[in-house]
Amino acid sequence: MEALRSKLKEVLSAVLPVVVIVSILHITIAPVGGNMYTAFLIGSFLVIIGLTIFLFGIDQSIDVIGHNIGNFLVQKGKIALVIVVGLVLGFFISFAEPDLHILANQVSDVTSGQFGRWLMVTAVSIGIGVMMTLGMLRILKNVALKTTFMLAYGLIFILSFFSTPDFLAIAFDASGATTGALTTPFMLALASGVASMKKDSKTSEADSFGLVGISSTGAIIGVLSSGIIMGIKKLEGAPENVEMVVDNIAGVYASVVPTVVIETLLSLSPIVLAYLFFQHFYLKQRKSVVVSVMKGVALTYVGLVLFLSGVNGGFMKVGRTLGHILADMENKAPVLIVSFIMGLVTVLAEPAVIVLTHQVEDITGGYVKRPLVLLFLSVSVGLAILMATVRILVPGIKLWMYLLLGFGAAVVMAYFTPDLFVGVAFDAGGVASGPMTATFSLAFVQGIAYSTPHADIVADGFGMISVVAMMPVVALQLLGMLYKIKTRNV
Amino acid sequence: MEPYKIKTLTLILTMEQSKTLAKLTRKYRLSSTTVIAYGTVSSTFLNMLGIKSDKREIIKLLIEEDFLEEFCGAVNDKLQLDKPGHGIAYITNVLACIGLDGGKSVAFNETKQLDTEDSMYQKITVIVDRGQADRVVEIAKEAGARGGTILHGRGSTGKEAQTIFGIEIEPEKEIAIIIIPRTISEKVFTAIHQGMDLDSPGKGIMFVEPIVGTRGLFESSAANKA
Repeated sequence: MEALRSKLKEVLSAVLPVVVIVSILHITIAPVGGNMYTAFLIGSFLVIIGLTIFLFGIDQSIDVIGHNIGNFLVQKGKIALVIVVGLVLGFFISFAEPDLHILANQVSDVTSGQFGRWLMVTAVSIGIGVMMTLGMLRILKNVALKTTFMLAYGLIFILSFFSTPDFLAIAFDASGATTGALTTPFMLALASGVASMKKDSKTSEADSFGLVGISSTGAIIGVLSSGIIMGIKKLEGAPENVEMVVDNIAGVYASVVPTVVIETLLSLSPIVLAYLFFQHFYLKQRKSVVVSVMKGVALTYVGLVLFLSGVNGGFMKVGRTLGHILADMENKAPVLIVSFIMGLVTVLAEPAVIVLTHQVEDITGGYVKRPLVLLFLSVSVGLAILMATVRILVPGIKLWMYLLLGFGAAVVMAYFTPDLFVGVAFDAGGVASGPMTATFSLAFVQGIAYSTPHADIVADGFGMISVVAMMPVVALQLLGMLYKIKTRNV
Repeated sequence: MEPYKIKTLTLILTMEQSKTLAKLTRKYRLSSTTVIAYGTVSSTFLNMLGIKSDKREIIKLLIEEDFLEEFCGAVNDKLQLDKPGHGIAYITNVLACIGLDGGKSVAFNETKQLDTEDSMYQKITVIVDRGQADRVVEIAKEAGARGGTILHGRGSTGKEAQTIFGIEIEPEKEIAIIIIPRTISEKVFTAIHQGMDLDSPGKGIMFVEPIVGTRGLFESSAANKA
């Protein structure tokens, strides 16, 4: 039971900070209502249990599957095989991601159906498929990570001249939406599987990271190019208004759980089908291994369903209500402070953050410390939410300013940061913008926009995720530079 | 002069226990090398769910014989190794070593009484900076070894450690393990010693342990085909 105890302890330390902050706000300056608070506590309980089960499941399923497929692709040594598998897997993983469909529906609404759901989902999925393939080829062909990112973001920069700022926000949000709780662990394992076959241990270590970051540029490129082709100029309409009152706690969960049950099954299916395919035709592992992987898949599924039910049922409305109440206050200090703290604590509870930080520690043999990565991630996401709030309160600040400065700095920094940290940093960007951010933090920021008279709900509603995806890239490269300085003379 | 006597202490601990041990090694200013590994989970309930392995750390220290008892006592106090489920520790003899703090070393001829006839083979362990273990194995092969196994870990020196926001950074290390017949071990030892420049501080550590039985090992020279 030692294993269970230590995992539970870890999850508690990741989730309890959020619970404590919301509880303090509820008791002091921002009471959200008794029913809503009860729903939140139930949600927190589900999140804690779900995350614990999920993390056990990932270790013995998604992690193993990704690593095995990655290993196999390299052993075969056929570039054509890598291309076919990369394109097909990348496309379907992204296509099955529920967050992407939610975003696509919202985009369809604000573009009056001009940029429809299926167009968006297809464009993003093709983008992810192409970039994930290029990301794997890069590892095999020894193209430097910084060069790859410079080219990808250079292309995005050029494309952005032909898009409207609002549409740019949607494109960056799409990249955050596709790197969900399942895709990120899978891509991380896939990359480490491909990279682990390299002879030189140092490059193998650095090449284990970066695939998530490269793949998510595919989503941005996909949306921007199809938007340009479609000639989309203006966004109008408003995203749906979330019901703000909780009358019936059972009713809230009854409406959330069935969707989560189906969507999670869908998003898990491409990875499991790919495994069964490879297992049957190529891997041919022992039966006990397959049984263990399938048990892991079951744990992953149950854990993720519990986690997402908790987040969607208990966290979203609380987030929105808190943003609403705090932004209504005359004094803007509380809303700014809470924005920062909110970012600080929510990122710790992102499933993929826990997976990534462990993988970094494992692959570097404990050289890159988990607490340090968490610290830098936490502060950077805190700043990101703060920046998103400031943008809503101060009309002069535009999203493109943040993105140009942030990603511009990130690409330049890559030339002064050890390769390992470049990969980890760009992956962390995709990892930080997971389900917690996409529901809880986004709802919080939307709540603020809703209470701010001059705010443009459409433009401000989108784009928050992109700032969350951007800040960790800068912060972790900073950590890499610190490591470089500190270990130079040992 | 009294010969310098040294032994290895190896501990297999959970992540939490490992952190406690790190505090102890820092207090006593001992160098250690740590490798992340996986151990079994004994709970039947968790096994049924397919959860069979859990993260562990293997920590290896070289300790002077006179000081060994005191340190083991301190470890036992803190980690309570005598209770089940609290970790494992074992001690082995060192036949020769080089690269210790302060340039201390032990030569083969100082430890003759430890090297009994029933140990046909010996285990050479070389701890070097990340990326250099390949070179170690190359040198060993040139000197007659068949090959080597490389592990990946981190090392912490007894000296003042570099920190970022109070969190200690331990540089990455590679550990090359080479099993060789005792007849050529001194030759391989010397070759690695010179090839990797282990006399200079910070270049690496090497030590040799006796082995009392092996399977799957074959004569290294092609002329002696079985």
